[in-house]
Amino acid sequence: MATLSDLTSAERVDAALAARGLLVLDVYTQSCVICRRMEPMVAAVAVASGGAVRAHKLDAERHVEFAAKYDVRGVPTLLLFRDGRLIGRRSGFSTASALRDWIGAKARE
Amino acid sequence: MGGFTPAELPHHQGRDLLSRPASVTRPRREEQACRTRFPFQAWRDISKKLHDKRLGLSWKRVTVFATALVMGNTIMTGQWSRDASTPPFIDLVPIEQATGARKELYDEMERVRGHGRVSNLFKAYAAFPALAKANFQRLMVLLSQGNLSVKFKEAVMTALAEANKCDYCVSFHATALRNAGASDEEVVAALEFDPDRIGLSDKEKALFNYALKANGDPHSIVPANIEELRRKGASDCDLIETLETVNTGNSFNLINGALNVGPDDFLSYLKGRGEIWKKSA
Repeated sequence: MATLSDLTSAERVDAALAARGLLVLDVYTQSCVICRRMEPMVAAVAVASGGAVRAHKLDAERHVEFAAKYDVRGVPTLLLFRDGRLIGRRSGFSTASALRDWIGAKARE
Repeated sequence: MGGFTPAELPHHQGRDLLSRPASVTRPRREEQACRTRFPFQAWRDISKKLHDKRLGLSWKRVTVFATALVMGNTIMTGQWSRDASTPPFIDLVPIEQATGARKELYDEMERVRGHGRVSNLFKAYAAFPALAKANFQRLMVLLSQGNLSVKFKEAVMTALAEANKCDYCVSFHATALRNAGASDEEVVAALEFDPDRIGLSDKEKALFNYALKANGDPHSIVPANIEELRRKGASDCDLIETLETVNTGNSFNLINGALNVGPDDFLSYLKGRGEIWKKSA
């Protein structure tokens, strides 16, 4: 999988956060080139996790309140949730290997 | 353009890098045709052929078997994410119609890669023959010289093709990656951007991630990243070789995408990526 499903509505965002387990939200904007290069990395990590990690993307310009609530100051920003609670954040491009290490470390905390 | 002798191709000794892996069989002409026809027509043809062979199967069993064949064929081969109904935006002159400088390029490619193995990418490039020859020569230098393995370079180009959503390029480089000694599982690992499962050396694993980082955001590379590579034994030449692999993969992805260039007839491996991307979007 090279793409992430886009949380296009507030309801979908709420539903994603309400689910249990690890969730990565890839906060992006349409004009962000680095975000487009980042997306396949996040998607690959989710696929390779065999369901242990869910991942979606979220347009910061569409979800301004969400971005403000989680203090997203630039894109791409990754927000890592466990059972709906924010446990980590990371900005800028990351390789899939770096993401696997980061998520693994956060999940063990 | 000067040719390359087998001695200058140390990694593959002049053998055809794009010949099919032993475990990957090329679809028969009949099966290939199924992919291009409307599925029902393929299903009907297969049903009829099964029945005509008088295998003692009931029509019900023939129907189930034919349906499974058609579905399996569709799932395994998929369709390109490009709009196949739209022709390429540039003239891809067939081998038999090439003349002059274009023919010289095609001849050189067939000499290196094998009969009929002039890729659509280079048929497009050949609109500017001198540039096409220079690019092919550059590609051959990249793949045949330097310190890093062909397996590493093809793994990087396979990963880039996946990241750039160039389904033609995925099939092309995954085929070359298999022929460089990778298993199917290692090809999948490249598509999942996981160098730990590709069977690379520690240095090449680190360089694989460096390549992805350079592709993702070259300005995000900091001294600590380079120091880590140095600890793994990476030389200046290794860095240049890796970055040129990224350049090459990206430039091919871009040209194929921007000119709507489709797959080569001689490719049969991992052709279904476009469909997977579409479904996951």
